[in-house]
Amino acid sequence: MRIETIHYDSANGWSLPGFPEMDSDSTLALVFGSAKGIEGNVPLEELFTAYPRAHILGCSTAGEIFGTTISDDSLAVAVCRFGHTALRSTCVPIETAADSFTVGERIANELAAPDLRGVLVLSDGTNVNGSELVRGLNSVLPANVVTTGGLAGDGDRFQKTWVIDHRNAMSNRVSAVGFYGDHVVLGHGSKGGWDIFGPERLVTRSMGNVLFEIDGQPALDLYKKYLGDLATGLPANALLFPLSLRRGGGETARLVRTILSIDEKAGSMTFAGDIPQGSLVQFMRANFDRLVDGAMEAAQLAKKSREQAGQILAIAISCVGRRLVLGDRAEEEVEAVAEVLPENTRVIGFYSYGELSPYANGRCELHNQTMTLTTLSET
Amino acid sequence: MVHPHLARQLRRLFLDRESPPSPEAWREMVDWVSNTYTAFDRERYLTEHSIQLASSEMQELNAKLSVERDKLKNIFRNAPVAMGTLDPQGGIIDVNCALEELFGFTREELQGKNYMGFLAAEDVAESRAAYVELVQGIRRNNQTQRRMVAKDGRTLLVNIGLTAVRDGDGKVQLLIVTVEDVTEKTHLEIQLRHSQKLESVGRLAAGIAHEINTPIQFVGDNVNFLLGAFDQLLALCASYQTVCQRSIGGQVSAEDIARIKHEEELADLEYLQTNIPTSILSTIDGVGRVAKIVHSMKAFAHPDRGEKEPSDLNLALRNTLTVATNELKYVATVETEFGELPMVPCFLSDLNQVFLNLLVNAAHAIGDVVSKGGQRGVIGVRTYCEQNHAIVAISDTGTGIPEAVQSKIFDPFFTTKEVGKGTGQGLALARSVIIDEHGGTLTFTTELGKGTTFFIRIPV
Repeated sequence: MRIETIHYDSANGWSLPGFPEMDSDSTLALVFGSAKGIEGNVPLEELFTAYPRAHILGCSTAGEIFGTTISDDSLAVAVCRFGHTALRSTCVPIETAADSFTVGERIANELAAPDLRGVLVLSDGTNVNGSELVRGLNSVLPANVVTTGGLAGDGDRFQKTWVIDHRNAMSNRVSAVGFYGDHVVLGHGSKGGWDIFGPERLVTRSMGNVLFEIDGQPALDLYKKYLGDLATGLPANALLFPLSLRRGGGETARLVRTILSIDEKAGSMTFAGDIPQGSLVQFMRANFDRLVDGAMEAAQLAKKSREQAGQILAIAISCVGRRLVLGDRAEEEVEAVAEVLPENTRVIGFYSYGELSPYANGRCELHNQTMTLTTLSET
Repeated sequence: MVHPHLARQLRRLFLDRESPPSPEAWREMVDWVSNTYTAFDRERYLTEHSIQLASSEMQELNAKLSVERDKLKNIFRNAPVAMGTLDPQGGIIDVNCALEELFGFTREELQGKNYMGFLAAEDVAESRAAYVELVQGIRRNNQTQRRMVAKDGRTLLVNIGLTAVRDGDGKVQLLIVTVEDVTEKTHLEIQLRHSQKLESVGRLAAGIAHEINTPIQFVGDNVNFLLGAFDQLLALCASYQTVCQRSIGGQVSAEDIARIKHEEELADLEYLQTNIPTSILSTIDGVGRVAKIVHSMKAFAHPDRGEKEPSDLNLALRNTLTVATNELKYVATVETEFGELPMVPCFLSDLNQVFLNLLVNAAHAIGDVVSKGGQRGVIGVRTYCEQNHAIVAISDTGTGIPEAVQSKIFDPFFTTKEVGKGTGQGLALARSVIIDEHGGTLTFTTELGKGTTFFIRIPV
């Protein structure tokens, strides 16, 4: 397996003098770039032209990760030519977020095969219900297929994202690539690094991703009460205080749910993922150093998943919330990841509107506010 | 030992090298340290604030919990049902006021004692076995009738309900026991059953009197006829004797012979010769019919001896049909099909009452059809054996039971009959006798306008 990473920005152009000659049916080109597009998408077209046979997947971001640097208005590209692994890719339109389950199901059905080992999913970031998309994928794919990925970003604007569909940057699409055969080695890790505080509470009224009541009390009131003086910074600082979510029925896995908006009148809070009634929630707070620790732990997990020799591609998908929270220190988490991964690892990735990665039970879940890593290599 | 976070910053800013750091690196380092302090302040605030809130929430919850606990305790103490809690060995943990009142013991007198100690001696072994089954989880709850001894020595007949309460691992924490005094109720039930029997005997009496009256009447007529015939025969005999004596003296005249002939003609000897034997046979038949009714009546009303006795259900049904003849014959023809049944252990007197209730109901159902201009119906009585059960099926060609009342027909005091015709006790009693006393089942099939069949199934 051969891996090359290339970077493009307006000031410096492509980081390599020419595109590495790696085009084949088992070549995967991943590209993460600005939501607004760069220079009328000319560089993207150049990439497409250079790799006419390759499977090209990509999406817009809330920041491109290239090695240990984070930039905006750039393209982060990784080209991998697999030696013994077959690839199959697909892209499916999604009309409305209500179709998310069906789209997930359809993608999984198109890729499913006995020798399917892993699926990388890149989805539109605003017109999708990530939880339902994952449920659709899980309804078809067996538990031993590693499913990871992320939702495209649009900076901190949350307006319009794109996904590469047959060499076009299109909105309202979900794309995925499947890895087939026993030679591909997939590692994954996903960690938040948020601290919980206050007692764990029961969700007594919610609808989809809107939370109305916890422990029979208006959710927003309780949230504000616990933030105390810090509540005056709402809704701007809501990113610093997400919610930890544990499904009922003795489930131990915790998910992080980011607050998208608050409704003072209804006393409700809207999250970037479902908050099912009957689940248990706990308030969380950001601690910069712990977030960086979380990224390191994710890298440890992705590395430990299986010993990987030869070249490794690490796809880092981190939540836009982390970038907003960490601000200038966002690069620290990418550095921390690179520090943990083996030297022969190339890292590219992006800041996303949601991360997909398996939890302890092996089933893929939608995460918020995590650093999610997928490592790819071949034996 | 440098904190790992600080170590990472030093490494990032090359401050871990020997060479002097750049001013930018220092500035960044100072920023980092300053930010760390700010973050620390914020975290300390949040931690202290949330601990304070959580602890006041906890206090509130504790207060609420204690109110709830008192409420629960009061509910238990003052529940209008005698109840208590037992440990897995049967030791009494707690009892409520109603139980104290029922047995006359105080809570303190009962706590720690074994509940088996308050059972009548003959009930202990069976109770202990049932208790063990509950604790072992073979059963979740248990309802039985037992005799228990109160403080003043009275023996109470009680319904005991026991339920095992288990923790998350399935281990028995305690058992809840409820005790219902049914001594009085049982007496009343016995009285009620007895009075029902009296009531039906009373109701049947008029019909039976009528049934007896008919044969008695023709027996009387026959006897009167025989008396007259006897007088005539005696007179004829006297004439014969006179002629006989005369013939000894050789003095029989032609007039004597003519008079005898005349008397014979007067007595209509031919008629007597034909009718006297018929009359005697008819009298014997009449007396037989009366005897049968009386016998059936006796058999029907025969008191039980307090325990089940092997009985011939076919014979019992025949007797019941006999005593009920007058209730049935004006509206229906009775068709019987008695199969071969073994002797069934039962309280026959109670079963007779059930058969009677069902037969009378059948007649009433057909009566409703007849009174509206319908034809006479058929009451079917069929017996057979099936899977170790004796089955008695009593069917009618009456109105059928409307769906709306089907679920209520076994409820006590439920009746669709007009005032004075039904008390609503018949089927309720039947159900209690068949199910509770005999461990059988009482079911029915019905079709509106076609009729109803009741099935009694009694274990053999």
